[in-house]
Amino acid sequence: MTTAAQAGLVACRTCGLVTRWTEPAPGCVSCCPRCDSILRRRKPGSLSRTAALVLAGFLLYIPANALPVMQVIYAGRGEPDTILSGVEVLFNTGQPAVAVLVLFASITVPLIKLVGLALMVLAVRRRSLWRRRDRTVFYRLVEFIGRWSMLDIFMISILVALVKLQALSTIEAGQGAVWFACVVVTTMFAAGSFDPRLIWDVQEDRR
Amino acid sequence: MSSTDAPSGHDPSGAAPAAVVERKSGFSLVWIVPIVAALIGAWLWWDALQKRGPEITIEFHTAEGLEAGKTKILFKSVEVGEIGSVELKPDLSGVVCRAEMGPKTGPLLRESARFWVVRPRIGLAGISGLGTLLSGAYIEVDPGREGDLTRSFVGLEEPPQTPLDAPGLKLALDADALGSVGVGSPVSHRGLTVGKVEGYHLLSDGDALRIDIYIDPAYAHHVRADSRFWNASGIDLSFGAEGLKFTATSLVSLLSGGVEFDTVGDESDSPPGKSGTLYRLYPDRTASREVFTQTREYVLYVTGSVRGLSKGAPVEFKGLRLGTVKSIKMVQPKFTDALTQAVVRIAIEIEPERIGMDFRTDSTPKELIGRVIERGLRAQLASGNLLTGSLLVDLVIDPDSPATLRGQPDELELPTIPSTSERITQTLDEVPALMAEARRAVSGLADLADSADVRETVTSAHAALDQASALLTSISAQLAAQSSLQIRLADALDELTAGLRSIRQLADTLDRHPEALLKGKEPSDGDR
Repeated sequence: MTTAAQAGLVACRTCGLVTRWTEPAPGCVSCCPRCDSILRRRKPGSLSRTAALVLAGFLLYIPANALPVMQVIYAGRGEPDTILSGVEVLFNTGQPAVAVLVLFASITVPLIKLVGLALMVLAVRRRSLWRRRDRTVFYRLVEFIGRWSMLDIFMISILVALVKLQALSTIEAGQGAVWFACVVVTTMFAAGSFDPRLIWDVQEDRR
Repeated sequence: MSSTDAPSGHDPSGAAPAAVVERKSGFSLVWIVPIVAALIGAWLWWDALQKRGPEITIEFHTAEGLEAGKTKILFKSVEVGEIGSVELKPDLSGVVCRAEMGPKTGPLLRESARFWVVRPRIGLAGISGLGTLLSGAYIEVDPGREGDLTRSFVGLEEPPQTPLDAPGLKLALDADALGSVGVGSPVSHRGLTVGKVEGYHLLSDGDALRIDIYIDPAYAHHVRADSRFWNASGIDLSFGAEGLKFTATSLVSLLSGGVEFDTVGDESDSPPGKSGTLYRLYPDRTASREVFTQTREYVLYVTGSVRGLSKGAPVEFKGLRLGTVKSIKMVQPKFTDALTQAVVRIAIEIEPERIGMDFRTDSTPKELIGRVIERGLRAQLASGNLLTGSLLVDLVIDPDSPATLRGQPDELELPTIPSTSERITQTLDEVPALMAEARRAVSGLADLADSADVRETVTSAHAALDQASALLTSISAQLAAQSSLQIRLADALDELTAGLRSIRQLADTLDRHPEALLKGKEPSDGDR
């Protein structure tokens, strides 16, 4: 199968116009004739950016889970909850569905994203031919569900704003929430900076 | 590009110089992101390590209200730690709480540190720990400042009354009995509550009780070296040789007991009290007043009954209190002799300061007692109160009675004389004999009365009395007649007077007319 790159073609990432690729002179950029956005055959520094952001994501994932994300103060007595202990509390208070949802959105999804992106970067570097189509589908999935990880952060922000009953009950955001938001943001950027076309470049190199 | 134009065309072939291929620096700015993330992670980790203090274990009897991961350890209401886990002791005698202490608490975790659980408590001294009704129990710590650093502690079951570093006075009182003093009981000075009882424990020899009290710093200067403490608990009702004595204190003390103190004499004369000083706790105010520095113990031996004599009974001399009975016990040379030869040994304490005397100026006790015995000082048991029958020891001067000493030669013994009641008893012993004699006399009289002579005598006496009666009747009649006799006598006297008047007239007539004796009376002259 011939790739667009082999055919000397490039698609605009903004408007989708396919143009013939002209290598720009040093110091210049090629632009889309229709929408004037910069044309690139591949995202520049895609692998290293993705790798760096994934690594940052992994590093931030630790404090995000170890530190409390929320503190529910009820009648002057409050216990800070980490994401995991919050899931445990939800499960024990008879809301297993919510518990599973939170577990999925806040723990499983970021982890799957981080691990998946790391594996994709590794696979591209090793020029793997293994399940390239599935990897592409997986990449789309990761990019799509990434924003849903913010569910937890949104929930905390809404609760903190809503529950301000002074002495009776208050909810405060914890430090972990900040790091969790950072994890979500870095993984989203990591997914965004990864160029799935790299998966298919391997084939032509090997041929 | 022509070779001639080349500025550095040293190549003889004229070919263009090969481009130098440099490996592009692998460092991209994007790698700053993971570095920053790593730095943040490292900082958080370091911060957590800094906040993490030593891990300690605290033993409690029960884990009531304690929750792993939730119960805080507070010092002055500031969180200094948290209970990490609560486990049963291996021998099931209690629970062991593992606690993570905050940073910088290490130096305070010494052996003297005290931990206790703050729960709602309602006692006579007040209600405490109400806040924990909603927030749940917490552990309060009073950090130690003495002793070695340690990591395992035994928690207190009852909260201590005052912190270790409280600025007031901490005193210890030795008492014979606790009375109604309890933890938290008020310590008062002239009726004002100035402190409280912190705790008490039996001394190791079991003879006395040590009570720890705390005096608020505002009143600490009222405690002096000469201060006397006494048990001001509730109602004191005593019925002794001195009669009925009733003392009641404040209502709080009545309910919860209490300790009161006062200084004998002027407060400023006595050096101020220091923390840790040991005082004596007297059973009541009177006892606290009657503390004498000079006391001397004497013994008495009595053979009679000591019923009514009790420990603490007064020793009096001429009605003045001079001392106190310290002990009463029976001395028995041998058990078999105990019943027949029993002697009761009474130890008394003479407190000369009561009457302003001073022993110190006197010669040795032995000489002194020898001298006073020679002058006739004797001890006897006397009735102190007729209603209760209680006895007291009375010192009397009776040089005539024998001074018999029964005790050991090294004892300071006062000879005794039988008590008044003893003497009454002795007299009463003779009563039966007297009664027998009296009965014999009475029966003799009865015999006499029954005899024939007496009956005859009585009959003749009866006749004599009859005659006497007749005699008296006639006398009485006579006395009645005598009254008419007197009247007649008066009449006779009247007639006699008239007769005498006639005689005088006759004499007058004769005087003037002596011839009348011959011629008779001249009627004309004489009638004029």
